[in-house]
Amino acid sequence: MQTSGFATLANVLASLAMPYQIPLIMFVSERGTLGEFNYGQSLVCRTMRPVLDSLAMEHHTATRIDEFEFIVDRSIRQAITTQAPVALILSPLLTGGKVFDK
Amino acid sequence: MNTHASPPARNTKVMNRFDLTSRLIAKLKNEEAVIGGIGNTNFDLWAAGHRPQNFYMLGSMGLAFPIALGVALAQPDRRVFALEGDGSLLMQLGSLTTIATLAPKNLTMVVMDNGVYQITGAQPTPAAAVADIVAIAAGCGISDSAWAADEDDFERLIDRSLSASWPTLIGVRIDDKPGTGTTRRDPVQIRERFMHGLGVREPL
Repeated sequence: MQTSGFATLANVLASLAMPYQIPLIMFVSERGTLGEFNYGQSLVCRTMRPVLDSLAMEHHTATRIDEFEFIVDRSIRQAITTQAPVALILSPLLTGGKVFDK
Repeated sequence: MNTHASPPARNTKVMNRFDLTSRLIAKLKNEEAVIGGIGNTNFDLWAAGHRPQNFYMLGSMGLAFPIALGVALAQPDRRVFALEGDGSLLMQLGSLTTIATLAPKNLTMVVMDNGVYQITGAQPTPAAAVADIVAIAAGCGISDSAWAADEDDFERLIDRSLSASWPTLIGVRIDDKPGTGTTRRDPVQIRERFMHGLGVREPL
C-alpha cells in the first residue's frame, strides 16, 4: 500500500491487528516526502508514524537495498515470534519515489 | 425528477438473526469456519453456541467478508461462512469485487439486512430504502447471490452453498431485534481458540 492507503487503517490496526495479537506484516511505499508535488499527500504522510507510535507498533524505514533483506527477514521473524504487527516503510531513497509529474 | 425514492418491492419475509444463525450452525458438521461481523451479528453467533471454528470480531466494521476471504484462501478444503450486517458491508463494498476476482470455491457470505445501523441507535442505512445488497453483489461479480424468501429458502440456499465451487452470497431481511447474547470480549483467546479450531496451532 501507499502512505495514503495506510491512513485508512487506524481502526483495523487498533481493533484487530493489535488486540488479537496478529503478526500482520505491512509494506508501505512512502509518498509525501522527498519531492512530493501533492500537498495532500505530504500532509497524510506526516500522520503515518504518529499513528504507528501511538499504537506502539514496530516500524522500520528501509532506505538502502543492502540493508533491506536483513530488515525484512528480522522483522518477519520478530512479528511471528512476538505475535505483533510490523510496518516496513519503503522510503523514496530505496524505491526512487514517484516520478515528478507536471 | 423523482426525489422521493420509494422502497423497492420486496417479497422476502422479515426473519430473525438469532434464528437464522442457529439454523446455519445446526447444519455445520465438518468444522466449517464461521466469521461473525461486529456487534449483534457476532453476539448471535456466540449465543447460537460457541464452536472453536467461530471467529468473533470486536471492531473493524466491514471486515467480516475480507477476514473470511483470508481464511478461505488459506484453507481451501474447509468451508467458510461469513455473517455480516448490511451497514457493515456498505462500509466495505469494494471487498465484494476482490472476492469475485479471487473467487474462492469455499466461501459463503450471509448478509443480515435490517436496514439500520442498529448498535449506534438504529439510524437507517441506504439498504433500508434504495440500495439492494444482492443486486450490488451480483454487479460486483458474485453471480451466485440471492435473497432468501423465508427460513426454508435460507436453509435451501445454505445447503446448496455447502457444495458450491464458487463464492455465494445470501441476503436475508431481518427484524430489528438486538443480539441474543454478548460475546466474551477477549480478543487473544478468541484468536487463539480459532487457530486451534482450524488446526494451525497446538494449545500451550
